[in-house]
Amino acid sequence: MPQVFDAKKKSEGRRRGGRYSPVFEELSKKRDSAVWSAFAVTPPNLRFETQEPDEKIILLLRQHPVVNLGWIVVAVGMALMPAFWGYLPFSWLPVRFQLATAVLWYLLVLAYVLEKFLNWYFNVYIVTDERVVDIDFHGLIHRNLAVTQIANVQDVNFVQTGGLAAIFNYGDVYVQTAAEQREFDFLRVPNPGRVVEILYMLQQEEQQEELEGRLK
Amino acid sequence: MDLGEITGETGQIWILAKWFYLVAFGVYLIFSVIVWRQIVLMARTLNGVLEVPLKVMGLGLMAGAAVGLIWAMGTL
Repeated sequence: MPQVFDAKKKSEGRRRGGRYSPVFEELSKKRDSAVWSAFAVTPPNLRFETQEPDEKIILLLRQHPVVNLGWIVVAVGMALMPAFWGYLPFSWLPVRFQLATAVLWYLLVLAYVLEKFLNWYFNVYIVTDERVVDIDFHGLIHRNLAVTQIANVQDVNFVQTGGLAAIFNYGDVYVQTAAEQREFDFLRVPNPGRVVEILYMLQQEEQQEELEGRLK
Repeated sequence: MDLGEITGETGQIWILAKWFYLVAFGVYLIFSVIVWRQIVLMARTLNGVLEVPLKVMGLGLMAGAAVGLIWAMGTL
């Protein structure tokens, strides 16, 4: 017999966050928990700095992994470079200085890789059942965290341009808001169409809550 | 002072070069401390599954810089 209503699941949803979100319930059935994922739906074991205790993360977005290809190629080139040092005028250096140069070079390559990876991994866009959060790190010393309520979202659209974007299905999602920060740009995120769809679902949910007087 | 005194095995140019490498390793050590601090801050902003490996990587960077500096002081 088909199950029409799963009271256990619904009460679990309530207990988890203290507030029932149909969108969260719907999406958590298709949960994606991959560590490297650039498109994680209701990711478990993840929290961000200003997250409210009863706030649920619906979507975690990063730039599509393919955007890392450029710096990976550069890093591989840099790592292979010492093999060609014989062709450069380094051989007149004493061996100990050649070794020191190689050590410094590989430390630089490591720092370059780490910096690029950290920038990709921690520059995230988070959509919760209440808010849109944009966490930006520029270089290693600048941090910016922008937040807007879903209720402030006015318009959402996406742009997909270029061959790579078409092949790997990534694009820019633009979220227009009525808040102080007028626009949130989710740049080069995977499945932009799905992102827009989820944001629309959350907008609908928020409007429904407002109508029912359940808005926080 | 002839050219040999400057460019010979123990010439002044190598003392200068040694200081250049020491400064480079020192700057790298400072940079790696900033990276470590930033990883801690980033992990605080968004804590997830990769938090521990990234902190270990940051520590590795610092350790590499410190060992490099000590090695350069002793060997160069």
